[in-house]
Amino acid sequence: MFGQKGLELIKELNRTPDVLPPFNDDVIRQVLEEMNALFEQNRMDLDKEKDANYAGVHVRHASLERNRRCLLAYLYNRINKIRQMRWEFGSIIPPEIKYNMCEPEVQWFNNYNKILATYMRGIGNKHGLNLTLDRQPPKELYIEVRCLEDYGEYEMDNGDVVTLRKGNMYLLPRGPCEQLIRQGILQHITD
Amino acid sequence: METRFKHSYCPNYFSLEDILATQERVLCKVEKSVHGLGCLDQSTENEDLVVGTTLQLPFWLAFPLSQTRVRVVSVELPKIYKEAFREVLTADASIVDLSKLGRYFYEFGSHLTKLNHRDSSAINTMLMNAFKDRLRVLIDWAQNLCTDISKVQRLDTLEKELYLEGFKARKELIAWLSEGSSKMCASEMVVNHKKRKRAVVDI
Repeated sequence: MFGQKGLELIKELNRTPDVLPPFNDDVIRQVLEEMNALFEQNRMDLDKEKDANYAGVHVRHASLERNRRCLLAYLYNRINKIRQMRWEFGSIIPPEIKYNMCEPEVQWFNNYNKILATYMRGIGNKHGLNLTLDRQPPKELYIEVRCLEDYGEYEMDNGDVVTLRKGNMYLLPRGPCEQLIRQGILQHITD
Repeated sequence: METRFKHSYCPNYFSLEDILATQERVLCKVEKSVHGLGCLDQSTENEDLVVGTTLQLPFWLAFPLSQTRVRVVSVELPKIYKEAFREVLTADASIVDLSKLGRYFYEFGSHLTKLNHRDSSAINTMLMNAFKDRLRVLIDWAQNLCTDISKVQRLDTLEKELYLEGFKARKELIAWLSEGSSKMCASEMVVNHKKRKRAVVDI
């Protein structure tokens, strides 16, 4: 049956909606091979110009389009996920995830990073504005946080350096904390 | 914030759900012999598909073949969209176990209406009414944080996503009412990523 390999890719993505599965270049190659074979066969059939071949050409053409759709959807949905990661993990993604990306995807991520950074520098009356901060309206300047992992030294905007150790609590300015909270290094404590 | 719920399947070329829904198989009857593609029908060893053979084809293949100038196959409606089942759903849709009828009941059904079958409009109306009937129960579950797994398992994929989205919204509302919006938390992807990481370390 045609289109099975392409479907495999889609199923793989659908099974894991929250994580990025390893880039499956092996199956992609197989799909492309199938498409090449289908195309060649169609070309040969059309050259013969026999009416008996009419239905077969249709079958193969539909399979070609299906395969194309599966491949494009696979790539597109992965890119979407990678874009979402830029907003959730920040500009540096963990090496385990990066390992699952293929070379063009890493390049795409770096380019997206650059475009976003350029845009964020350009807005806010030329002072720049970090769009990933203040996703909720800030209510206080300092917040209480608990550190969840040994992060080491962290330098804040005003030049102060704090050493973040696992299990300790800190009272820190809200701005620099937000990124770390989103990355799961700090935990915001409210009572 | 991007939402996880990707609606509007039908015109969405890249939608995973739509690709999976069009993979559902339909019973087709061959009207014009297909040269050299006997392999599509696993029950014969013929080299060609001969006129009159019936076989199961995925919808994405059956649909274009039924729309060609000289029709290659004619598609028969699946049992669950035929009149007998339509009557069951019209009687009381909310108690039917849709997940048993097919994981993409609405999605696949709306694709079937494109076949220009004489029942197309009846299917359309039935799908809409069934959805309306069931939606009321669904909202009720989401609003009251129903966590009964057996109930949720009876939903079709579209309904399940709606339910989970409603459930999440309700929980967020409760959190907002009790502690306001100032609390910041780790993003969802990060949390999931950490969970996985820890599992790996444990092994």
